[in-house]
Amino acid sequence: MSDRNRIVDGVNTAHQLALGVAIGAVIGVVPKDSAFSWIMVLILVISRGNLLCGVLAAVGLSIVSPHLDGYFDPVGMFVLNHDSLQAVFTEWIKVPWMAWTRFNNTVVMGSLVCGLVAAIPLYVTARFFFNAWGIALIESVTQLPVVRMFFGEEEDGVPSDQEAVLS
Amino acid sequence: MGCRQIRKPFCPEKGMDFMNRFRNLVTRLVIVGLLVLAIWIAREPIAKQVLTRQAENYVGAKVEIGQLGINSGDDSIHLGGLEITDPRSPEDNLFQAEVGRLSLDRGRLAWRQLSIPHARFSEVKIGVPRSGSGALPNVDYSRSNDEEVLPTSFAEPDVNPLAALSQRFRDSLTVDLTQMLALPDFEANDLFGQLDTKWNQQFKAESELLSAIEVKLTGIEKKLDRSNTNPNPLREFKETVPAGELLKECRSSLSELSGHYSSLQESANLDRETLSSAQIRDRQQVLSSTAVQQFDGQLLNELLVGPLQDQLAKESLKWFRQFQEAVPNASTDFRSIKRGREVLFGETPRPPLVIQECDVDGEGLFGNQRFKFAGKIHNFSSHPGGQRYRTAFDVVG
Repeated sequence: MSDRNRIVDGVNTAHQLALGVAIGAVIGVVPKDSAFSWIMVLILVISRGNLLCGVLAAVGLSIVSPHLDGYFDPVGMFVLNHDSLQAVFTEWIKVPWMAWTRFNNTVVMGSLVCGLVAAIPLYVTARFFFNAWGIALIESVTQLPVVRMFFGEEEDGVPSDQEAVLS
Repeated sequence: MGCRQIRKPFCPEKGMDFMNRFRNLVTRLVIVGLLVLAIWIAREPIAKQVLTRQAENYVGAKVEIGQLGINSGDDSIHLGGLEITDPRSPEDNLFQAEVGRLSLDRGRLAWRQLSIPHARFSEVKIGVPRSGSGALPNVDYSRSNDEEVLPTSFAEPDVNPLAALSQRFRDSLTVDLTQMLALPDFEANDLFGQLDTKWNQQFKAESELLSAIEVKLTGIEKKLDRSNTNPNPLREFKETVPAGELLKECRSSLSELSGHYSSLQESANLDRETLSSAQIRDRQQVLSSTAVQQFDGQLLNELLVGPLQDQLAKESLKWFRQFQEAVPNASTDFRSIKRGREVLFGETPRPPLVIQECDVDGEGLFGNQRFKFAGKIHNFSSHPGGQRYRTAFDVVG
C-alpha cells in the first residue's frame, strides 16, 4: 500500500474513511430499536473510523434497510434456528438486558449478520474508492458553499499530493 | 516538513504515533461522554419519541403525547395530552387522556418490558373525533368488518316494555282497598243487633212468667206446710183448697211457658238461618269487593318467557357485542408495523407492555350513546390473549 493511500486530510486516511463507511453500513442496516445498532454507534465513535462517512452510510442505509427486510428475515431465521447455536441463544435470552438487543428477532439477526458479512467487502471497496478518488472527493466536498458556510474556509487547504506524500 | 505541519496521523517519528492515537482516543471518549450527557439531558423528549414510535408501531395509527415527564425519585412517568388513534377509524381517537401517571417496575426493564404495577388515567375520552386524520402512511385502513349492530337506546324509560309488563303483573296482584272502604255496614252486623234486642225482650217476658210461677209455688208450699202443723182436719181442708187452685194456676202457667219455649225455639232456628244467610251475603260482598285476582298465566308467561324476554335477551347480546366491538382486538384491529419475527428459546413470550392495575375515569361513546364511567382495568397488556395476562374491566358507567 502506498503512502499516498493513507492520507486524505490529516486524520482522514482511506482506511479511516472506509472503516467509517463499513461501521456506518452495519449501523444503517440493523433496526434502531435494537441495542446492536447503538453498540455499533459506540464502536464507531471510539474507533478511528471517520464519523462523517459513518453517519452518511448509516443514514443512507437506514432509509434502504426496511425494504431489505424480506432478505434479512430468512437469513435471521436460518441463524436463529441453527442447531449448533441453540444452546448459546438459550443462554443469551436469560441474560438481563440482553433482550434490548432483540437478537431473537429474525430481521435484527439477519441484518446484523448480513451487515457484518458485507462490512468486509464494503471496507475493501471503499478503501479502493477513497484511494482512487478520495482526495478529489474531499476537495469537492470542502469547496461546497454549504460546507464552507458551516465550517468556514480551511486555513491550510487540502494538502496536495506532493505534500501528502512522505519524504 | 514536520508532522504537525502536514497533520499526519501516523507520524514516523518515534513515540509520536502512540501520542496521536491516545489523543484521538481521548477526543472520541469526550465525544461519547458528551453524547451520554446529551441523552441524559434530553431523556424526556427521547423517551417521548421512543414511546410514541413504539406505540404507533403496535397500534398501527398515530399516537400523540403532549407532555412527558420522568420522575426518577419514584420511578414514575407523567403523561399529558395522550391521544391514540383508532386504527379501525383513523378519524377518531381510540383513547384520549388529559392526564396520566404510570408507576414503573424498574426491574422488568432489564427484560425489555414496560411493567406498570399501577397507572391512572384521568379525564379519559373514548371515541372522540380527532382534529385531523390519525392515519399513518403506507398502512391499509380498509375495513371488512360486518355491519355494525347497534342496541336500542335505554335512555327512554317511557318505552321500556318490560317495565310496563311488570307493572301490569304487579297491579294484578294488588288488593284494591278503596272498594272495601266504600262498602256499607255488614248486613249480619245489623241483623245481629236487631236479634239481640228482640231476644232480650223475649227472655225478659219469659223470666217474668217464671217469677210468677215461682211465687205461686212458694204460696202452695206455705199453705201445705201450715196444714201439716195444724191437727184440725177442717182447718186443714180450708188451707188445701186454695193450694189446689194455685197448683192449677201453676200448671196453666207452665203450659203457657212451654208454648212460649216452643215458639222461641222456632224463632231461634229462623233467626239463625237469617243470620247465616246474612253472613254469607256479607262474605260474598267482601270477596267481590277485595277481589284478589288469580294469577294471570298468560301475563306471567309473557313476562317471563314471552317474546319480550326474547327481544331483551337479543338486546343484551347486542350490548355484549357492542362492548366487544368497542374494545379493539389487538390481533385483528391493530395494524401493527412489525419487522421480522420473534424466535422463542424456551421462554414464554413477554408482552412489551403490562399494566397490572389502571384507574380510569372519563367518558366514552358506546352504542351511539355517551357514557361517563369510572373504574379499574386489571392486567392490561399488549398481548391480551395470553393466559397469564387476562384483561379484566371493572368499570361502572
